[in-house]
Amino acid sequence: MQARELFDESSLIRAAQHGDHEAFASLIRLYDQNVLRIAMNLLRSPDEARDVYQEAFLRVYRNLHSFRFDCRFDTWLYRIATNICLDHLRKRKVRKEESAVVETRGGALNLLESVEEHRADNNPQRRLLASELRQRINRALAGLTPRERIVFELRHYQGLRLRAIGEALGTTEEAAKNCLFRATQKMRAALGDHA
Amino acid sequence: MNTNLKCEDCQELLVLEAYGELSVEQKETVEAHVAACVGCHEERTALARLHAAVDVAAIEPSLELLSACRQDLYREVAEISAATRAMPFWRRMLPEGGFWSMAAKPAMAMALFAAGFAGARLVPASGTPGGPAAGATMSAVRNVRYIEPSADGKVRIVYDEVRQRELTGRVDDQGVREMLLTATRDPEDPGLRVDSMEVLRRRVEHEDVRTALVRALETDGNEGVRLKALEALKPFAGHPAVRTALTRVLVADKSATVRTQTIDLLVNTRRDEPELAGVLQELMRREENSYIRQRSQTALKAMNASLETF
Repeated sequence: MQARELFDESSLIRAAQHGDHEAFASLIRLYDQNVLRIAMNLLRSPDEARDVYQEAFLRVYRNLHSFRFDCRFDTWLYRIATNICLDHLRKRKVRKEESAVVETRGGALNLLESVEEHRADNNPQRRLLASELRQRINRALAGLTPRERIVFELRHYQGLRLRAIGEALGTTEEAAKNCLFRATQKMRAALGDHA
Repeated sequence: MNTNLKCEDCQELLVLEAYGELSVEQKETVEAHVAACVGCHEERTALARLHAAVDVAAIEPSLELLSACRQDLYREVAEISAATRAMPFWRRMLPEGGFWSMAAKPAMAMALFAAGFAGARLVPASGTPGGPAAGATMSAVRNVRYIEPSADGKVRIVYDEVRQRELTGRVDDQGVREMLLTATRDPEDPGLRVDSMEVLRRRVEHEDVRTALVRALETDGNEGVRLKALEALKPFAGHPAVRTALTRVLVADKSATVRTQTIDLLVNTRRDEPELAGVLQELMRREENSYIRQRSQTALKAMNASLETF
């Protein structure tokens, strides 16, 4: 992050701390897509991701007065969001395999169909293979422990540095490294020849 | 360079390499090992395949979902905010009630204490010339010094009072400048320190301002404040005292962001400086951050200096 952005962000934080709702909304808009993406990728459920979003930002709203610029705001926010995701993951008592179909407020929903497709492909066979691979990867991701999954998600999909991940999870860079290594090994074992 | 790297160690490093998390030295060690080891070479290829495969499973939440989430949140925040406004003032002061200024906390806490105390024992304002009008000035009460009950049931209280004052003037006015310089050292509010530097940066040609900024750059505990001081000092990066401070920061600051911006500033404004070469050589020996090491290496080469100290 460039210094200029950092200061604009700190101005927003201070204004929000003084009760400026516009500033709070602007602050949220800087990061809410990332938080939703993290929740969606970790929980693979739009409903749960929506709950995580709501809970995370309400915690931010209620506790912003205690934010004292001791760490980066996004580190603090990701710590809150990943802790809530961890709680959700731990609450799932039965997690044999994650199905692509989940129950939502609006009925059954196929996650893979609800996802924005980046690479439109008109070849049915290639689409089928990609779909199979996605399901396999979803199962491989479901085989990781909640912590491994979060580290993998934050590093692989969100591009956070391991040091930042360690801070967000309240642990060390070394522990995050070990987690990433274990997650990668498990993913390789689970995907076998598919990867 | 460690050429005796074991395959299992190399494979751990390969995982980090795929994410650009290796130092220059580690990368060189891995390269040397992989060039001579078929197994680790295959491992690297397999990891690249895994990365490519896993990428297809990334989920991008739809904009409809994002919009719905935002609406939920704004609705909830509006409700909380409305409920907070409806609360009695003492309830609103509690942290869970919503936003309130960090800086106001100690005074608010004291005011709560004083208000509770006053409700029970203070006499009405009309009976105490010069005393506090209960409720109206309680937020100004900073500290109760002592309490003296009297036989007629009244009580005498001695307290400190904080009053808000306003000062308006030009940055060059002595009073304003002194106030701004004091604000750069505010122990409570990093935001205030940043704001004061933002104003003072237009007067960085003055020595007292530079001294305050250098002090903040070298000693402030907040990374954002240090970056602000660094930004403000940029036009004077060639000034001897500033330059000396920058080299100290480059070696000592715990934040890689601050060190990165410091080395950029030092290197971009370098002249024929043996001292800087010495610092850069020192960095080549001990710096963990690969960008800073690379920047040092490039600068040393441009200065025709050796990469190491002997």
